[in-house]
Amino acid sequence: MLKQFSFRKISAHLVLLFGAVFMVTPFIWSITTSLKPLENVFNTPPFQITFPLNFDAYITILGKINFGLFTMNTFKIAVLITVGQLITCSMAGYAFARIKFPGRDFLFILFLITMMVPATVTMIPNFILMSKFGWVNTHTGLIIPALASAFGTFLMRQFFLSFPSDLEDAAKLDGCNPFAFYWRILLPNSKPIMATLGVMTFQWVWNDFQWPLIMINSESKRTLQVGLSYLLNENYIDWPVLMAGSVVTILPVIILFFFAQKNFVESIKLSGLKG
Amino acid sequence: MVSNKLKKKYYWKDAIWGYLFILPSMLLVLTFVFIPVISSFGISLTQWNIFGSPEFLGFANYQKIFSNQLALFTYKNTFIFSFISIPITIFLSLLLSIALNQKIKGISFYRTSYYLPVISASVAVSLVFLWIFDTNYGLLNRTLSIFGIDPIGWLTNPKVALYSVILVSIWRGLGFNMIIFLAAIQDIPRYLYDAANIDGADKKQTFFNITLPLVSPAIFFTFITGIIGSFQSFDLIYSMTQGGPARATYLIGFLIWKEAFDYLHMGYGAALSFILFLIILVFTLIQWFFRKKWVYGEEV
Amino acid sequence: MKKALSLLAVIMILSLILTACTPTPNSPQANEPNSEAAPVEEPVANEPVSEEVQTIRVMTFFAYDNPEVEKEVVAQFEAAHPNIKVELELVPFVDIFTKYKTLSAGGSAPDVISMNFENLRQFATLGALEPLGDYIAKDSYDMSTYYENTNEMHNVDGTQFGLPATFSNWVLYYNKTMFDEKGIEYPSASWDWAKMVEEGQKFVSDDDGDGIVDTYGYGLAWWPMYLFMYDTNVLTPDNASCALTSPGALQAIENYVKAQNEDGITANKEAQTAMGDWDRFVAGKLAMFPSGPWALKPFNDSITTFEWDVTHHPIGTQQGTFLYSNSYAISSGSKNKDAAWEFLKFATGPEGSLIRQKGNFEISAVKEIAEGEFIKSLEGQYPAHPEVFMEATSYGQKLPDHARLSEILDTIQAELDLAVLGDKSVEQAMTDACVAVDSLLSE
Repeated sequence: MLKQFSFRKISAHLVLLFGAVFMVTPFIWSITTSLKPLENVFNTPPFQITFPLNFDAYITILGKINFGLFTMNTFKIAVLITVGQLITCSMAGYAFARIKFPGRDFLFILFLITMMVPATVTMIPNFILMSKFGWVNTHTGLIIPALASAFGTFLMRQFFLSFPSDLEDAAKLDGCNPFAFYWRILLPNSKPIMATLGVMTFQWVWNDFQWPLIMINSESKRTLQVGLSYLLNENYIDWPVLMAGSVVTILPVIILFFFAQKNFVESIKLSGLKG
Repeated sequence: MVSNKLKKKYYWKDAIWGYLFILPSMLLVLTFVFIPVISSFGISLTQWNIFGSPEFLGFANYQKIFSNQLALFTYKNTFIFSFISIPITIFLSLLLSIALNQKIKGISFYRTSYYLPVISASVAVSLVFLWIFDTNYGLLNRTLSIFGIDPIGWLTNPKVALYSVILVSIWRGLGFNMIIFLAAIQDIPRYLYDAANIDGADKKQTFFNITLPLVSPAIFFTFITGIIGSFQSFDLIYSMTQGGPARATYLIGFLIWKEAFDYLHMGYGAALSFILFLIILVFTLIQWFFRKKWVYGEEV
Repeated sequence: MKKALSLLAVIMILSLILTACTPTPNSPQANEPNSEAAPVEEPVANEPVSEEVQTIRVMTFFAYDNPEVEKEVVAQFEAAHPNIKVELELVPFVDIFTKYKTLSAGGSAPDVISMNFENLRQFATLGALEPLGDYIAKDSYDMSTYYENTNEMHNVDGTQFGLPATFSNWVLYYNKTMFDEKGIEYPSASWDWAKMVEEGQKFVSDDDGDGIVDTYGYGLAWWPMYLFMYDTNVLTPDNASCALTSPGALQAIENYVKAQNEDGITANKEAQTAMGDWDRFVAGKLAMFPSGPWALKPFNDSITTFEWDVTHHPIGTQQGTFLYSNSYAISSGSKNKDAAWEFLKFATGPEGSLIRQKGNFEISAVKEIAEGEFIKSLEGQYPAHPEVFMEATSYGQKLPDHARLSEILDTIQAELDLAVLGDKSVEQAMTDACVAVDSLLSE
């Protein structure tokens, strides 16, 4: 029994490791490339790091653009949107999943519909709308429209569907109104999905390029991905700079993810009640 | 009689709570997403080059789509893309999430690794894959050559290129679906498994009777968002193949971008989007209609 | 339910109103490009006459990766024009026109916009740009400051729409060290295509013996350039029909396809996925590489292991190369056109051009700057013969002035891919391309 168990563990490790190599390879390549002078990118094997390490690409990124400011701008926007979506999406998701009200399915389909038209064609109407609000070239214009999302609402709804209904009934018997149930029981027991939506929203805002490019004119309000695009040339690929840019933008999200995913295991839903 | 009255009272009280809960999202989504969607439907009924004033055409743009070979070909490509990539992505990421739900050492490392492709910028991903797919020097062909397989023109052969792009999209989508499924599995109450154990259910039975049903709402979600995402995906195509070779990797999201912003046929581009919209809507409604049959909790 | 429905109804109506009034602001200019500036938004009553400071917005891609250059142009302009303030916005080339289009649709186009000549043609035809004829006449502005053929590139059907700031063209860069090692005479204007193929093949080699060619003789230019070498273009001179089935065009495309397949002097598509010709030239694995002045600075910065120079591209039946030019133009919706015009003159004239030339952005369209500062800026660096760029303008050509050019080129590219892959003969591919292009033209 014990022997079989450890064999299973080892094989699981092997399979997972094999897959992980596939997933990580491009990222490793980004790192090694970012540390080479352009001349050496194709003259040396891809994964070989050439010594001395060449940090020119990182110096370019930190020196040629206002990296700190752009990072702060993006961070501010991403955090506000993430917090906003966690609130609005979990609220709406709860209502769509567990409260009966007239027109619920219709309104929900309406939500879904808004996801089905490509951003390419809604970009101009969206921009016109922002002009009418006077929000062009402001962070407000990037943040407020993104405080809710059909995607997040849909995600939350799906997860709240499978929330044990005996818990809800128990709460009702105790005289909890729907808000008390949502706030005191549903949310504290939904850490995994909240962490998931949080990570997804954050990285989506963090990597968004087209919309901030259109909306923001002033350098002082620029976001990181847009700022990095100023380092690239249309005539050739400066591989080290491109890859260094990719590495520095990924790192904060990796760190965020690493900590967020711990939530996936830590929350074991109301273990007292269920055990 | 009394119980009936009570039920009804609860119903309306609940309903008000329901409206209150959806109000913030509803206001934001309707204002900032729904209005532009309606407006772009308006645009799809016109001929509009962005700079001039739009000319009302009625449904002429839609008629044009059905006689345009490129548009039809592109829709076909998009279907192939979606029908291959979505089921494979969902299946693999479900397996992955079950594997990554174990208590083994280095689980955080594995999870982060599998999520890396999701957070990488498209441009970087595309360039890395250009290099992996390179016919002469690429990692893939070099590996295959060890087994004596002749080099394959992953991105240069029109018959293969679309499938290479599908491969990249699966690679990128795995981590995304994985964390959704992980959260779903984590959400399953322990006592259900304990109860199953007491009843003497084996692993297979537990999976099919407990795990799968309780993960089904998440599968429904990834299915719908997968369709939407793959029908609209264009940044990979844009930076990897530009639709080539010989238009073999034209996907509808890319064509819409070309028509709307490159050729300045805003109306036609919008019409292409709304045909796409109708297709997605039909799929979604079919799923919606059948969901009560296979999605847990939908009978509520 | 009622609440939700009435809310919905209000929003639907709102959205319909928005749809209805969305694009109209620009319409007056669109219909009559020559009309005086109809204000984009509702006219503000009693707008103060401009004694005070006027502000203009300038959006440009010029030297966006080196922002100090255009900022200096603006600083000097503001010093010379104390009553005009400039809000400068730099946007990368690949994104600027998408942004400009969206801003224009939203009625907030910048007053001054940098243009490449293809987009200038498209935008001017659609009424987005202000004709400059009256301004030039009013100031008796001397257009002979600029190269004559760069002026023409920003002229649509006899109307000037932009003042040229820079030009660029393709010449042949070559690795002198590789030629010396092989003992082959350097390429020159006297080379024809056959000579190029013959000499180019001598460089092709598999250096590490893995059966894959590592070093090539020649890198490919963008395919329309080969048409120019046979005195033809994508369309007939009157833009009425596709010209790709003419004997000259077929010969040109044949050369382009054969160079990759049979002749093998150039890396074919299979060898181009990751490592492009640019990377190959920098790595010293490509003997000859057609490119433009934008390569000068990066090559000087990154090439340390060999000597290089530039010369004229080999000839077909004649010399032929691309001529490109960028300019500044005024949005037809601008409210400060006079101030914008002042900026155009300064930024593209000798003073602005000098700053840009010192910042190594392409080659100034102002003759005195190109022949003076451009040559001077390359002293002590490669190449030894920068004057080739100036000489090549005499035979430089451009793609047809057609508002639907990018659609036409995409259509041809799809067929050309098939010819390169060997799925179709060159003749068949070009015949099919022409059928598609002609049907586009007849729409």
